[in-house]
Amino acid sequence: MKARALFFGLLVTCLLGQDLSKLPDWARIEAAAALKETPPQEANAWVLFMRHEVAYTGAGEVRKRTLRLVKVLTERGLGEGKFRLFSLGSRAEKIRSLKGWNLRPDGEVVQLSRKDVEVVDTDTHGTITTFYATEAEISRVAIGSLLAFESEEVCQAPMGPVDWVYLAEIEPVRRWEMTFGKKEGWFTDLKEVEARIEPRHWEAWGIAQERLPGGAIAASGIAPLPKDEKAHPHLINVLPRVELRFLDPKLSTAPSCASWDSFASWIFEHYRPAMISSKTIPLAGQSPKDALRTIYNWMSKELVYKQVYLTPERGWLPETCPEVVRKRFGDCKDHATCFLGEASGVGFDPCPVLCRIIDGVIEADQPVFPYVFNHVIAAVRLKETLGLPAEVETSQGRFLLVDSTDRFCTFGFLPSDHRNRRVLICTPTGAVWATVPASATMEPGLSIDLEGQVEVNGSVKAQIRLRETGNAIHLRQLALEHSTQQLRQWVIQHGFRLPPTGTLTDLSMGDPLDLEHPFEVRFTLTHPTGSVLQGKYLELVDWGLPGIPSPIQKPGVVRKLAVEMRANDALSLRAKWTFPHPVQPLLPVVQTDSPFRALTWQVLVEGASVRIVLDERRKDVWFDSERKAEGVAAQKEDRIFLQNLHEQGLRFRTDW
Amino acid sequence: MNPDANIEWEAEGLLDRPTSSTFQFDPFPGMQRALYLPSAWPEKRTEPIVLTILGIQLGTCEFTLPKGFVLGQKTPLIRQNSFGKVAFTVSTTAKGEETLVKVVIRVDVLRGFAPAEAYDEFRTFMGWVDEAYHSKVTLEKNS
Repeated sequence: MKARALFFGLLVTCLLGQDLSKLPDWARIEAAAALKETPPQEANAWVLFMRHEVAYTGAGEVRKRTLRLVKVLTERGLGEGKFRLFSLGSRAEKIRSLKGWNLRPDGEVVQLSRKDVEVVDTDTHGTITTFYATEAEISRVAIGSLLAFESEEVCQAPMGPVDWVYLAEIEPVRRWEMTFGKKEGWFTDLKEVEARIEPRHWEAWGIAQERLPGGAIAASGIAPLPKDEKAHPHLINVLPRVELRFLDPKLSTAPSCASWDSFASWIFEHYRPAMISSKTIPLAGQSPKDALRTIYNWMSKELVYKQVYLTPERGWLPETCPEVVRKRFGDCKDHATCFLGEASGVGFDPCPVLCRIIDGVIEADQPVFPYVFNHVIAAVRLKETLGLPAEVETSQGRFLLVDSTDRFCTFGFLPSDHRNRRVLICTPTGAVWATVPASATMEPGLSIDLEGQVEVNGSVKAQIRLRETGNAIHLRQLALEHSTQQLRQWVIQHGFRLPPTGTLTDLSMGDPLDLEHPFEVRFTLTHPTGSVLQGKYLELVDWGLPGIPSPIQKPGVVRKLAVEMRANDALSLRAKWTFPHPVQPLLPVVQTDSPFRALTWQVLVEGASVRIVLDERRKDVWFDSERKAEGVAAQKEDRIFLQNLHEQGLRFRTDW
Repeated sequence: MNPDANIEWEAEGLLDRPTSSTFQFDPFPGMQRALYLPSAWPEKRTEPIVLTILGIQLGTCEFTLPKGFVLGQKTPLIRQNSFGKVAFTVSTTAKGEETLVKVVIRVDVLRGFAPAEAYDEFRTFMGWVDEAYHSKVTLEKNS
């Protein structure tokens, strides 16, 4: 602590040598004010000031000015010399100006120059979009540097004049502000435009709102993101943010955020032209249910998922069904319109459905906002039930939900991740919210049959059969889209560890697109030292056992975030191991039914063989902020249970 | 920084006292490995073997044996071939009423280039490396 105090003392002395007048006016004022304050403990950098100025200029156009001032406190904070802006590109989003200043502790000022700025394509594998990032890195950043950045952007986003900004960062933020307004003058009349600003998750993060003149909003002393916390709700549901909407009644090129009904109707109307049948898939003479199944199975076999957005709008608006059928690829929107177009051809009323998967949930009190969705699926209205699990009853009737982007999900079910999530069914007359029951989704499962022999010299050999339901460990996907070599690696990485001298041979598999049956993979493993005799104990390689979970919290650090884990899958292991001589298990029976999993383990001795029976089902876990410590303790207990299973489950007493 | 000096680092950690009758732990958690160990190895190799760096990694873990526990038997791992040497050893010293345990891992990578024909020997060496890095210390309750 003494060293730290000395360091900050030196830093203050250095800063006194910094001529703040070399910074732009806005930064000089904030830097001078911060000099009177003590930097937060444990921080590597301190964001002294962050200001977003947003103005609506009409016709869907938004202009943004961002001001950022950071003080570098430690060597790890030197990365703050980077400033990054993401842009949708084309006419949708452009950077008008970007400036930067580095006021070093020795008083010298380094300004951002053109050579410090690079444009980077942000597309990942299998994705083609107009997105890019502009990265600026100011040079000669030192501990004690004051870094100021100023940018101006112009956006005309396909989803309209809306924006959201997060407040918290990995480093503490001293002062944060957002101002907004609309341009008015001789040639613009935006009197009918309404601006709505919505702070979310502020109270839970311990932030007090300050309302400034003109409707601006501000906050001070924003705590950073906690370090080393795992298994928490997705940050979209946790981090404090501000959502800003400009409601322009004259704007028809983007959805209205006035109400969920107006939003959903706009989505429906803009999907309507795409939802027409290609008349390519033979459906004549089939019952409505069989026709839907045929469409779904045809799509599973024929279409691949690919994001190709050659214009900014394509990220939000779908391709027509006939075009998707012709091209044989598309993203989630395209898959949805393909299914809906073909379904409309056999008499169903089609509705696009907006939802959020994997990365967080749409909260029950979420105001109208387009960016809370990250996925599109399909719904067809049902006059009567088809007897399928993925049907939902709503205030506006019964719908069958279909997500055809998962090629390995059986018709009539939704992929597992949809369970208990809210979806927005967009109908011609407005919004219909529904919650997907867990029974509507496929439970992923993996069953392992193993027959192995242990030799006197310690080597082991086993024949293994895996049967996968759903996407338990993504075997179908690997088999279909990757090489046998990658499938081998994947198997070895997921429960069947081999040393460099071990071998995996006789690999064979079933048809990954046969969705009516579990996907089967067979192989033989040999491990030259798979059983190790230490005194009277023999320890066997832990093939087929569920993995040991990592700790979710650093010991001795108070948990900040709630505990959440989503996992509902089943594992079954049936193993027979034959030894040179009889053995006695150290752990013949054990079971648990914790918040994280239900697991039973049994070892039966049959002469020189043992039969192992393991059944496990992992559970969705949720401990809210009030019970987070309880969640951390329960996870530790769960981890110890599995650790114990690994250490003792395959240890045997010998009398050899 | 002196480029000729060895890179050294030291860390201290705590483990909860074991509650079960046997307890295993990794004596070198988080330690950077001297060599990258792929999870799956091809059966055959046609290209020469080239390692990017030669060097020695030495790790030492010392702890006091908790009362009521003894060390599980562990055959020392000491191996050597043309690619290098691998050792994982556990030793104890009495200090008053306490028993101090010292675990040592050492990997010497001595050969940086070899023809494809040496693949089996290389896999054998990497097998020892793999075994050493996956070795755990076992504590057993005194019966």
